Amino acid sequence: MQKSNGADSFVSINPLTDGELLSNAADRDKLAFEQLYARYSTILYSLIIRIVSDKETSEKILVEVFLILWRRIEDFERENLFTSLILLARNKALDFLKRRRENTKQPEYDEDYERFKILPNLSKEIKPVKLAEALKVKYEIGEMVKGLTDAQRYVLSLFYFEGLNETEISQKLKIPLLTVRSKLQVATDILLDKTRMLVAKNG
Amino acid sequence: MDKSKLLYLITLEAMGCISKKDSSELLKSMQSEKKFPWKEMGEYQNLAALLSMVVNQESPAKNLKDLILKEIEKIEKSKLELEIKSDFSLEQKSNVATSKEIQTEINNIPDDKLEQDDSKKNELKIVDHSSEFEEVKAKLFKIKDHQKKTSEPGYQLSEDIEVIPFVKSEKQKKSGNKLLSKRTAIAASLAFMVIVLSILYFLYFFNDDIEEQKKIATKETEMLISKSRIVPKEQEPVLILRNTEQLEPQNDQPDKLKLQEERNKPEVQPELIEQIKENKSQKPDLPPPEAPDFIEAPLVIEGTEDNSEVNVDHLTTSIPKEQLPPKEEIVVNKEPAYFVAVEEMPEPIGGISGILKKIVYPELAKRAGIEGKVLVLAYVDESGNVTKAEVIKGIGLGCDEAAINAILQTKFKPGLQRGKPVKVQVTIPVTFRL
Repeated sequence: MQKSNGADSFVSINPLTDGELLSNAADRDKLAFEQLYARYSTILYSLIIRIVSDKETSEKILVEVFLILWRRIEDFERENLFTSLILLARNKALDFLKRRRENTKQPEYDEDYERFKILPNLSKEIKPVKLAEALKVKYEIGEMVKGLTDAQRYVLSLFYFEGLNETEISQKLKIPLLTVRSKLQVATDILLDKTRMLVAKNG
Repeated sequence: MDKSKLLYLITLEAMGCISKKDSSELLKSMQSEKKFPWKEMGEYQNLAALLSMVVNQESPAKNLKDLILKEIEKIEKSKLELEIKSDFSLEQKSNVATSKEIQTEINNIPDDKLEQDDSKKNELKIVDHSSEFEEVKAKLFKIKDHQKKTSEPGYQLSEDIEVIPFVKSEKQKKSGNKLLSKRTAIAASLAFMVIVLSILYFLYFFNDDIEEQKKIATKETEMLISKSRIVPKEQEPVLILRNTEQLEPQNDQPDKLKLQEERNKPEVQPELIEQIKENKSQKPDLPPPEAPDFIEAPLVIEGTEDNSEVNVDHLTTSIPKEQLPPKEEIVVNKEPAYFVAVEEMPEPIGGISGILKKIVYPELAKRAGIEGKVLVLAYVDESGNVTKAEVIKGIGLGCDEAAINAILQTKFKPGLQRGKPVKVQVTIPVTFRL
């Protein structure tokens, strides 16, 4: 809790928005980039380490995520850096996980792969979410997830943290593919409804 | 695609794991569907991002920030280097390509060429009694050749020369040096005489022309015209001499013998000139069409206009160009042909994974997050050692060098052809993965 409070206070101290910092960083402003790092490093690192569960690798991946941000800063959504960065870190960590898990033919990691598979393909009409807002609703989201059934939560976590696809999950849990699908769909729909309500409540 | 399916694919994509097939399907409909649920997609993506808030918050090590900033500086620096590197790797690739072509050329040469060479060898035997002579000349030639090589200006010429050698084959290599050096020495002496002659001719014509022209026009302009007329006339015999010597040794042999006789009494110049005159009168009958193809031709023409000394230089220097091939061939001889495919291909002892263990992931590539596959062409000899390794397809940033180093250190089980170990070239993929 302390850490998140720290992040909160940092965000409130710094008047520049993500988008402004991103613009500055795109002009090769290293200070702006440092501020972005200060804002996002904790939350990204926490997510990565949850996925790969290895400190050293997580640090490597975090470095890579920020290097991708620097290299491809033009590709990032100015209005919704929060979602972009989190999905990027998640994709990168899952990609690492997949490569470690399956030694068999993985696609070559090249420019195109990074561009289309690692960088999140954000929707054209996405509502901007700010990090500060997200941190505010952190507790509510935790509660939302707790509200799911165990099975739903488990299936969701297999998708989200283990990077398994529906076929792999059905094989792993020895349940039919359709069950996996319905579990995922129901879980995400519930969560979606709740976040809509949350957003409505917080304005 | 119906909307519920689409929404499901969007969910999969947002939640992390979508299969390749579904992913491309989704991408397709993103581009084509008019009523693509962009709004929902945004909601799912935001949800996915928000879900990350549930994990226990944990700060990364403090030095990570400095590390990242350092990396960024390096990226900025290496941006320039990368550009240079990419150019370099392109060059490398083209080099590899040419060396491959050369390899195949070597393989393709043998049969008929060898036969020709045999016949040439026999010819050599006929001329053999004069060989002591030729050795001295050969030495002379070597010096000239060296001079010529050092005086050569650009890369292009030397590249041309590299390609030439493979027209000739191994047997000729053995005899070629001697034979050709004999020829050039003769040609040089001949050429010198011819030049003396040509100067005489030149003066003669020159005077004639002036007399005629006095009647018609002003001196200066006509002098120029006469020069331009005369020069090619004088040139032809010289070119033919050399060409016939180089292309058709059989035709030359009588001449050579004569020349050798001449050589025995070299001080008596007037006689020589006469003999060469005879030679000259014979030569124009020989087929000259190849002449323009030779590199020397333009050089000679440039030089011959008025200065006899310059002429000599050009002739002697231009001849060694023909000589160069044997030299290069010897180099090729030292690098024997490697099989591309044999019955039993060589295998790295310890397997590909053994190579991978030897690889030191280059720091630069590690930092830049470079991953990928480097294809290395390794030349494995009979004892299983890698004599040479070159990159066919690289990914740069030190990975190529690391792969080559690892492969050079690797001992192979030699390739077998009919049970005997042979030299083989193998392509080894080296995967770099962070």
